[in-house]
Amino acid sequence: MSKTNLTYSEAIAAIDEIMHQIETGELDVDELALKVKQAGELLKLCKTKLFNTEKEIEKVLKEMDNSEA
Amino acid sequence: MDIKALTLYEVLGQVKTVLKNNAPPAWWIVAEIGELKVNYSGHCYLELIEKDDDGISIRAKARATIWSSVFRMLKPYFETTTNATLVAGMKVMLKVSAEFHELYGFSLNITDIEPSFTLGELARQKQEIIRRLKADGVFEMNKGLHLPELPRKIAVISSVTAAGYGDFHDQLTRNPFGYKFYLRLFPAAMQGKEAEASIIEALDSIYRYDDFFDVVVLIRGGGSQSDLNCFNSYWLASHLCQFPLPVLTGIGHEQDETIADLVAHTRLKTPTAVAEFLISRFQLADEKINELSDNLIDAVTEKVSHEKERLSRFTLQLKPAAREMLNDASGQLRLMQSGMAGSVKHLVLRQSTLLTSKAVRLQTQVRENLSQRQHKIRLLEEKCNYLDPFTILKRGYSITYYQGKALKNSIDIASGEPIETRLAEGFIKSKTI
Repeated sequence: MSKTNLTYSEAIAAIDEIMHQIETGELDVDELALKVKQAGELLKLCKTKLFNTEKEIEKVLKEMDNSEA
Repeated sequence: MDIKALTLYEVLGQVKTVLKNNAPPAWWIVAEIGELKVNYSGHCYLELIEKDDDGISIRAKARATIWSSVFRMLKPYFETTTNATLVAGMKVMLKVSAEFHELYGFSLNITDIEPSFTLGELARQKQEIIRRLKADGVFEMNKGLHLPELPRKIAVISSVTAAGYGDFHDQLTRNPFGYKFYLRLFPAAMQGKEAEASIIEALDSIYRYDDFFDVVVLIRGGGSQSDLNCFNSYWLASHLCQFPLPVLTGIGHEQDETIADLVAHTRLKTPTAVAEFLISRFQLADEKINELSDNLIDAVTEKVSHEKERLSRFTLQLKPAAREMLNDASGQLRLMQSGMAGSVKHLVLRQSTLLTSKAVRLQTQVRENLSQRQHKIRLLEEKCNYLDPFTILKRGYSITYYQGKALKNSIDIASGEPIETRLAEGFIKSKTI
């Protein structure tokens, strides 16, 4: 599933799931590397949602202005 | 016609005096404000009404006035006590005196007001509205909505004029942590009669984007303490209850809660409080992310060290295990060797004994065999001798040959044929007769 359109809570849930897998030792060392990478990306995604401007949101807000005007 | 007619003015004058003489100086009355206007000079003109039990038709009506000198004190007194302004539709307890004027007719002059009555009325109305909302089954609806962990896209309902929105906007967009908020104002009147309709209208236009926004914020500039009553309206509350997005209220009021506050998902006291609330949600999310990444790192390092430790344990165990295995193996080898040597010796011994026994047996066998054979031969010799025709001949027997062949049957030969008879010693030639 592509990373970008994940919502914040979906990303968090995915990270929790990976955490769970690591803690319960389901993952062997190879999978571990992959999962950790995924978790890293998800964490980055969450951070961006906190701080960065998202173009799509700006776009929708502009559309509202136009339809309102 | 000799009727003595009085002028209108005279008659009304008489009514005026009758009233003045008989009516008590003042009454405390309860009535509902039908209309209310304050003119430029500060005088307040009202129309007081009383509705029938059905609450719709009016069974009593009178004009009333509050002269500016009284109104100047009465208004703030009322508003600070009730936190509401005198508006049409409100039930009030007033001290009035009857006035009758030939020109202006009958009116009541209001000299005092008992705010607690209105408070009681307002509270009673509020309870009634709450009961209705609960009966409708919508009272808890907005509260039940899930507040997103990251309320980034905020629809703000506030009045354009009041400072509230500006401060709120700056507080969020310039937050010290650099969190990114997206705000959009949906202007509405936040006071007076029009408030209810215009807020509902704002809600409706937000509704078109309900899948976009995370949360709705209802805020009113600080300071304007008066007239919270517009937030006690059943219709507004009903809309707020059933709105699909969680609603945060920051109506800027300390004491009692309006119905909008009660039904909203989260009630905060002021716009700044709402902004702080939203920022704190972000901080929570931020901390959670940091916590998660720390946990992730811990979990991974723990897992890796666990694996490393296991590996080192293996290597540690490996040497002794290997040595042990080797020892076992070599031990086994030695064992086998000695075993082997023994068993080889044993085997050789056995084999040799076997061989010698075989050899011995062989000799005996051969000897036996030979002797048997010799014996057999002797027997045969004897038999041969015995069967040797010559020995038989010696015992007087003779062999008769005809045409070279031994004759066994007399019929095989005709008379006159030459035959030869062999005796032990010599031949006899003869002819058959």
